[in-house]
Amino acid sequence: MKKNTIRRWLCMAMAAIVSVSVLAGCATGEQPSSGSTSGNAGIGGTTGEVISSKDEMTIAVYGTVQSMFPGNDSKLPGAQLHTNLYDTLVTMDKEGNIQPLLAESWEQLSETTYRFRLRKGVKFHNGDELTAQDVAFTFATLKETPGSQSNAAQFDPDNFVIEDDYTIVLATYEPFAPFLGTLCHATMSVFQQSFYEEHLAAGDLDLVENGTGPFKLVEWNEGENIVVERFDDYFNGPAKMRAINFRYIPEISTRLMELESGGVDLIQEVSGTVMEDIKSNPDLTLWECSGVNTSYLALNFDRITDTKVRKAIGHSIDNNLLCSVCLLGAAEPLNDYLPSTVPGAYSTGGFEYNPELARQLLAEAGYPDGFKLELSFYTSADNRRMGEFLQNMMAESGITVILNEMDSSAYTPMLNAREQTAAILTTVCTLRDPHQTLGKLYSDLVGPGGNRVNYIDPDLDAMLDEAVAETDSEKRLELYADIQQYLYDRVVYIPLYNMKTMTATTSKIRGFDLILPTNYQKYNNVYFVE
Amino acid sequence: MVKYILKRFIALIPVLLGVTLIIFTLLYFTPGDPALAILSDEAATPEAIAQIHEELGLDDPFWVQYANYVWDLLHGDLGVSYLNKRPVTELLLERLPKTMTLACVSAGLAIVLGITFGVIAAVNHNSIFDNLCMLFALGGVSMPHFWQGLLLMLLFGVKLGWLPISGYGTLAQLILPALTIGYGCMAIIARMTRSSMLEVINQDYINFAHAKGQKKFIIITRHALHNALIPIITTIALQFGILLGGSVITESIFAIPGVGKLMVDSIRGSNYPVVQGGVLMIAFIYCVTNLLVDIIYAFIDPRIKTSLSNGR
Repeated sequence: MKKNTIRRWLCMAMAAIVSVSVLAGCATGEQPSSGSTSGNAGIGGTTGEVISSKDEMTIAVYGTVQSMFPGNDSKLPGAQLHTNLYDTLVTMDKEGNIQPLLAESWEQLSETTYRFRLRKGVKFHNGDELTAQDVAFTFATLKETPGSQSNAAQFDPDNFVIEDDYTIVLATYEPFAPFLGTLCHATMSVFQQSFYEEHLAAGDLDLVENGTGPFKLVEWNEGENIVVERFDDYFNGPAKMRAINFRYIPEISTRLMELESGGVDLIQEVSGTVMEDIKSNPDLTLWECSGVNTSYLALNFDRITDTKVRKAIGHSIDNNLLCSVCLLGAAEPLNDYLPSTVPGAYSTGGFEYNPELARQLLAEAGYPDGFKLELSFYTSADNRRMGEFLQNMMAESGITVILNEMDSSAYTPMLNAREQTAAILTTVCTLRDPHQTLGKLYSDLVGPGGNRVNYIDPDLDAMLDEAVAETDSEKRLELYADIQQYLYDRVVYIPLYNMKTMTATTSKIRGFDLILPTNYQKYNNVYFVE
Repeated sequence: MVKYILKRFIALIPVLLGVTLIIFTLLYFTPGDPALAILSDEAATPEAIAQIHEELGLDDPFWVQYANYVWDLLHGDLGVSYLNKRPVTELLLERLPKTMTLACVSAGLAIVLGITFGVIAAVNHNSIFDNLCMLFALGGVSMPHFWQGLLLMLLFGVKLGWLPISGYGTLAQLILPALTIGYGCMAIIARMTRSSMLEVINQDYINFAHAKGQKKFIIITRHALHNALIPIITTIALQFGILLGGSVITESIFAIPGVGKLMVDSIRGSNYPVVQGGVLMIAFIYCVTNLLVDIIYAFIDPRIKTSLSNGR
């Protein structure tokens, strides 16, 4: 009896070893199957890592989604979801190059027209096929939709031409060099005409989706979570995850503890205060890349016109110290008018930290006893810390900073009314085109338009017009270099830092990368290992 | 009694109308623009802002907007969310059960522990038990909820791994937030019970009960606690009213999609119809809670019942 039991155990052990060896042998050298819909278990890659059978991913997001319709939600939490539910005509790779997505190829026909050939067989989540008519309708509609019209302002729908079901010519009013980059923006996601019209009439357009993306909406519990599941007919092959649960967790401490305890697999908007906790935890991975943000000190030209005073303020700030001590390494010092991640960024040399020079410039400008500066910012822990830090640092140069902390709902109206003296502001260059950041400085955009320094200069307007219309990319970059030097000479604003994009995940995640320099990514290639 | 309750319910109408006027006026004059909250900085062009103002009727004069709001309200319509056009009533009713569940569990915990500790402290006045109970209660009133919540999460969620850290849906997910809120309420109830009991246990009728040879337990529960209950119930009702309005900080830390979190998100997002609807609902809950407390008084103290029955 005892002998039989031992023999049975031995047989079972042998069988198990053989089975595992056979499975391992079969899987050696294979990447996880992207077409598999029956789970992800297996042994993959050349690393010999065992692929986990886990097929549901939980992401802790920091903000709520406003709408399922991309045109009605231009904010980051919305873009994060839309990127996975919808596709754009073209997309951007890690280096900022334009790559095919729904369009397999394109050509520029004239200064204002582009022909796109669509992939055949791309399906919407309801099973209908994408056609050129849907693309034309998408861009014509987005041009009229508040959340997307800033990106679609140059589109000329009257001159769109549908050549056949899979070929479309898109047009712009004027030569517009950032056109292809603009098409990569999440608010430019393509949707189906008939679905849009049906749900617009029903009044529930914000609550439903029918994109072509790798995931489709299953459940939206507003303020709590959004569940999406794999779209098996995705043109690029089904995603590796069966489902993704986007959980809304506003507090960074809670997001981090959830990640540490395994409650979630990925958290966004990692702040400098928790970076070290993540780095020191072997079960977690911190993904960081340079952002596309220009955070700057906006000195209002309505109140401070003297270039010497503006220059003095520039020389009173040490961007390196600001980033390392105050922002705890979550940002990179930015000394120029565009972050280095944006093609066309030009090195002006920046305003070196030099309190002596700052004092001298102030004296030359008629302020030998120092200068008083009211600095406005909206309430946030980072901003408050930064305000106090700048207050101390600038005091070395004889500048007395008076802090004016405001609620965000009152801050923007104040900026629109041009009532600030100095303010800490950020522009995000998601399109990675200089025009997106520098184009905010047009004279007619002062106040509510986004020209927060209220700089009015017809010469600069002409330079910006010339650069945005220039289709020769090398020539264009030269024009933007001239513009940046021009801005530096006049201290139009004072660049401070470029906030990094940071995401933290469990160390068992694979197939994830920060492709887009923002906090939204496509998750169709993500899987887990044991 | 029934007449009294009906009268109180009718009196609710002008109170709630007053609340609508106050909250509408406050929101109207509060700096902030819903269009700016809806649009990203990048998308907030003057044209886009103007289009949203027109769509939401924000360009109408104050009185026109208020009259429209009250008219819709009288038809049972609290309006729609600026963000995704969902009816406000639907949003509030979706959140209310979550807040109510959390409030009931926290309040239950707070009432049982608070009264127990309060009674023990009062009966053992100036003893080590009194000091220990009050020290424990002091912790509850002194510790900020967010800090206490984070400590509980760290201990039971991360270090021990016994309980889920955040979210809503399972009983286990309720424990930490209920402890966080309940501890603070418990402390207030315990302190109120102690002081109220101390006033009562020195009364002549308690001494008389002792002299009669009644058991101490009966004296404390039937004679002393019963007569000390009125201020305790008032405290509990106030605390419960606050809890039903949503414990903003706790809901945010534990990512519970309750009324408090909805209100905070809506205030930050200048989503006025949701804020107005939420405040109205909270005001209604407060009024009803107060009414219930008045009715409970009548059952505890026969003198109050008589005065209510006489219509006073």
